[in-house]
Amino acid sequence: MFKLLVKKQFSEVFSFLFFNKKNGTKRTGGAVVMSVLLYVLLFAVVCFNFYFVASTLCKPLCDAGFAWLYFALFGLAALLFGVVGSALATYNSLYVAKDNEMLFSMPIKPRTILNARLVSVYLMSLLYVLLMFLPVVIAYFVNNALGFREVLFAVLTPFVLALLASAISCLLGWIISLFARRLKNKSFITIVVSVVFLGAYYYLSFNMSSLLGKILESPLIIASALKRSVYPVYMMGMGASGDTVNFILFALICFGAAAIVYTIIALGFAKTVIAGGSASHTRSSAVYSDKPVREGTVYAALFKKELARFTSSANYMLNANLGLLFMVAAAVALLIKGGLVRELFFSVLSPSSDAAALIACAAVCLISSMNVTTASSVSLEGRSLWIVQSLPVRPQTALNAKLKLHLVLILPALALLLAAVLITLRLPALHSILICIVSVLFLLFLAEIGLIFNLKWANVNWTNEVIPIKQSMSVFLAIFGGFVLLMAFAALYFLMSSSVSPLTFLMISGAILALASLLAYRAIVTWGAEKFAELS
Amino acid sequence: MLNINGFTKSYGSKKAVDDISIHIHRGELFGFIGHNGAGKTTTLKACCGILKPDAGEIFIDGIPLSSDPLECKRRIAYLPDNPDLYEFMSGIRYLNFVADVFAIPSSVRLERINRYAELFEIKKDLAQPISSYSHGMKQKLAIISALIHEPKLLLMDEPFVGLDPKASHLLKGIMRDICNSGGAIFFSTHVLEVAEKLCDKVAIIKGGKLIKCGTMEDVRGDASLESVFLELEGENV
Repeated sequence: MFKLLVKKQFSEVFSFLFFNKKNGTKRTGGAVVMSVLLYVLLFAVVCFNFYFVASTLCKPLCDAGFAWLYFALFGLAALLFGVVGSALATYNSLYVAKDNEMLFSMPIKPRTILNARLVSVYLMSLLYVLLMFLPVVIAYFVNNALGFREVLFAVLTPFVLALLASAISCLLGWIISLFARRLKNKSFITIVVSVVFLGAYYYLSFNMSSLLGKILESPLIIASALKRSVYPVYMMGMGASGDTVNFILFALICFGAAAIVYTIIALGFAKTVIAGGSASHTRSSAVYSDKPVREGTVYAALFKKELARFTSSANYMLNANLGLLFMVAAAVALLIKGGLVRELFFSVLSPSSDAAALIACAAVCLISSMNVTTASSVSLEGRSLWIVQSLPVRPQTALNAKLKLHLVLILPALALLLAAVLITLRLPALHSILICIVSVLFLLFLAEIGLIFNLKWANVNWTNEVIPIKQSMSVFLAIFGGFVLLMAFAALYFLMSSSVSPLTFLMISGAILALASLLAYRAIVTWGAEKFAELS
Repeated sequence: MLNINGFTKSYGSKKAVDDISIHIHRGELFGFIGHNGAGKTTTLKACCGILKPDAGEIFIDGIPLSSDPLECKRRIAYLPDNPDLYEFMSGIRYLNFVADVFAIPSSVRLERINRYAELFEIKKDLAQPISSYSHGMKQKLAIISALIHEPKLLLMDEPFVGLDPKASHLLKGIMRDICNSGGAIFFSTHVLEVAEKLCDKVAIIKGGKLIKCGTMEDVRGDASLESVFLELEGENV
């Protein structure tokens, strides 16, 4: 039975390679090969990035006799990577798998189901750990002449480490399952957690070179601090670099941790799964009160519906409006470090130069182009599309509500960013007005073009909202469309720069965008409305 | 109330509905029966403007659906075979959304919501998110939202699926009341006993073609509707 369940688990995990999630059809042999190659390439690209960082530290640390510190630091990072990467997936795989109820209704021991699921959890953690640890091991092999024992332990370490990563993931998944039924505003909590991780990621990325420098400057201090405060990490480092006793001890710690977590989650697995089966159907404490409500117009009702959909989905909020976060962050950074930015900006450009306005405008537009709310808004109607289609609602009104949502969400952030830019750069009034007009028109045009893309490549037959939000042609085109549009304007400027001043070019850009927005809007209310009415 | 004239609809090369004509008058409760995939849902979806006919014309209350869809939709309500509602809304929010679309005055909508929610026993659940509703509760909510503007024509696709016996009984009563007060109902069903007891007229569709249409007495004669249906479908009785 266990083998059968593991086989099922594997076919489920790798189904994305063999089946098209959009329409459920089987991929052709060539498409499967292409998908596999694409994922291998992606894996290789990520590994190469880590290899670059690892090789910077490897030789100096190994030459100074701190090979264990090298493995300890990257082992810790790989562990974190493995846990963060697989924690939520572990929760979904163990506690809210779609086939849980079906399997529990069959004559299968709950522990057998758990064991089969844990195999895939371990493999997922191993994948994440290898993604970071494999380049670390390769860099170690490239930079050192090694004996059999060093090679063996370095190769075995990620497999042991993945055990610890999956144990922590399972523990986190178990904790999430305990709270999932009681949590309110899950979307906002997901957003907050994601933003914190995103912030940490960017902080680490921006400070990577200085962090590496600090490690190389004072390895002794870091080594003794690490050994003193987190001894198992020292054991991991020593074990991976060839010390037999420490490797065995660290392996025992990992197996021990896994055994303890397994005992905890296995105890109430069936109970937690059955109770958690309704986790996605959480009831709130809200009570219906039959007070009269204020009537609204059709347009207001449709807009409120769009807003409710947006705020109910963390996926939609995060993926379609990542730019909003960057806009606010950029505005805050400008207001805090305005002097420095101004100094840097005008070290290459004259304050009186018109080009300053052009570059500032391009930068604002680039950040705002990362918002693609409309590019999945039609697809997100999904199976409830019949509601708007059968009600006395003009398709134009429904589409206008989708446009309005994008503008209502992004315009305040754009205003904040523009205010910060103008306060920081202190440009002349005409320049400032032009920057504002062009930025707003650019935002409007991208919202319209995103909606047009989604009307053209709408997919309302999805089973998971992630598909229209992340994996659709319209979102892909909308994200890159903004960038391509900016490149097109840049090319146009270089063609015209001998005869047109930057300020005049801004005016021309504004006129082009105004005309394009009008034409796009016309396309939405004519062709788009017809398309929306006929979608099925 | 509803005139379907020569309606034809194809999906790719397959003709789902082939040149059917049905006329439903005020006060009539009209049943639409046929096998799975016979063309019932396609016809109902076309009548409420979700699908565009390839040929033919549909009139609601004398208004052509193709040229004035909005005016037609103001007179009808559609209940699909699967109540896929806005899961991100609460029940009451969804009902207010529909009421806003039909511009139902605040006090009127409150009275109707309370009346039907009490009748179908989901009043205490109206503040809960639709995602927490069972299939039957969603079906009840969809029924309330269809009744909230007192439509002249009710188009229902398998309306009894998922309903408990009490709710089914209530719905049958409401359907009869609507017809008695001058409205009309066009609904599809697989439950022949329900059609036999409830309908004034019935149409049988097979492979997209209308093979029988008329009053219940005309269609079944002395036999039961089940035996007539099975005979027409070419099954052994």
